[in-house]
Amino acid sequence: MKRAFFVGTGTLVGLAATMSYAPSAQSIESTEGLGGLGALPAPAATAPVDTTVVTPSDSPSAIPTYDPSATATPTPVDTKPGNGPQPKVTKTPKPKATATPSGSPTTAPIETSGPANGDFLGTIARAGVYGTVQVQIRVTNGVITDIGVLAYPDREVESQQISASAIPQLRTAALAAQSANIASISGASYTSSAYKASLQAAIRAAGL
Amino acid sequence: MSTLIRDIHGGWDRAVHQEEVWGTVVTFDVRDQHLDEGVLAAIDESAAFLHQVDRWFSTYRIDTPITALRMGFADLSQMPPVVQDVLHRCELVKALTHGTFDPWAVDGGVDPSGFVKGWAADVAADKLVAQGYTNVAVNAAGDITCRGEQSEGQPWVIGIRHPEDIHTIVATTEVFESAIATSGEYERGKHIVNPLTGRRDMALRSATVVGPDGGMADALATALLIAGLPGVSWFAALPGWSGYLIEGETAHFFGPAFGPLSSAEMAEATEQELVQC
Repeated sequence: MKRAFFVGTGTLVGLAATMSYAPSAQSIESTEGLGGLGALPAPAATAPVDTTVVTPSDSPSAIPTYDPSATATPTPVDTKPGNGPQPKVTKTPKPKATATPSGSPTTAPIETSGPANGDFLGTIARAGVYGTVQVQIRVTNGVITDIGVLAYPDREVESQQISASAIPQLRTAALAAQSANIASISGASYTSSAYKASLQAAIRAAGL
Repeated sequence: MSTLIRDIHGGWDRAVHQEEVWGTVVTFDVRDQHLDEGVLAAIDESAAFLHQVDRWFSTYRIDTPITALRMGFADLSQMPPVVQDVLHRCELVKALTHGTFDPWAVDGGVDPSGFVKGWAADVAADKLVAQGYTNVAVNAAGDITCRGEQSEGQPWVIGIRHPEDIHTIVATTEVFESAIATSGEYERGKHIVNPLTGRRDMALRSATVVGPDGGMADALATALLIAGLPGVSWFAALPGWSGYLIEGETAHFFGPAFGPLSSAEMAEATEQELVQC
């Protein structure tokens, strides 16, 4: 598959129908880097691996149902009527940037006493002027059993979160059908410092 | 930190590991009907490769082959085979993108970083497959390589992040054996430069590509972010690739990973979305 691009033929179905463009391709250079290859200490300094094994027998509620509404973090909720199950393509205005709860991690403990349980969101951490990432941890009986980035690690994601995009979507109905069970998120690279800041906030929120 | 979780969706086990490397975080996600605890050692071995990649390709370290090449202390023939191979692949992508992706056109000497992250995700995933863990997703800070299945008979479901709203996914794609890469400046600011003009204005807010090769995906996403819709002129020639481009308030998508438009959607899109193209 890595050599697939040697094949010079073939076009992407539907491309011509969805796109039109000026034939004068710009000649612009790319310099995007990894933002810090080697920014970390030598590999020998890597922190020891903390391994946790969770089985249903020793933690019956190891996998609580993900409930986005259980968090206090502001989540964009689109109240426009056009975002029902069969929304039409509309030009929606660009929403304001999500408010960042400065220095106040949000908590969502499932139980109010005993060892911490449930999912905890870290702050939307910023590294310098730019760079955002949000970490969510899952706590079972006071032990971190999972860490996810952007709070969507293999959990049920409500369709309303999907349809709340500022970007007009041509296939919102199809997205709603697909939206559950998202395993991973593709996005621009974030920095480890932003990641760790958000993770620390989530750990504090869990009271660990 | 590694976690082995029993009996998740569909009764499958899942192992998750997060490795801090390259100044960011790489997530391993392994699934199967039953995972033995050896999976954690296999993940560690794959993660160790990422650090080896750093020892080959870091431009921030003085002791790497790529730094020696950049500073003129060594020439290409003295590079380790893996470095030569990656640079050769970069040449191909440069040609495919009509020079929009050009690791040689930067200050300080050749810098293949825009290719290496996605390439390394591919290799790391394939190392786990070779160990018998055939259902793997490696997320290298947003650039993802998928192998096998997410659960029994089901594809991996990958979301594409909204450029600004961290809580919103603008699209999903379902893949089995694919790489997904997104390029944007919303995380790290205007770090992409056009050396020909000195300008940092990108044509798009976000560019996501899906295709068979991680390194290419990494590079193609950046190239499309720079080139914008005109870049589709060369991107369209690549069989098996799909794109999801966010320009202003408009999402443009195409290719098998995002499906063809229905005729009704097409009519509406033609009216409302494509006028400005």
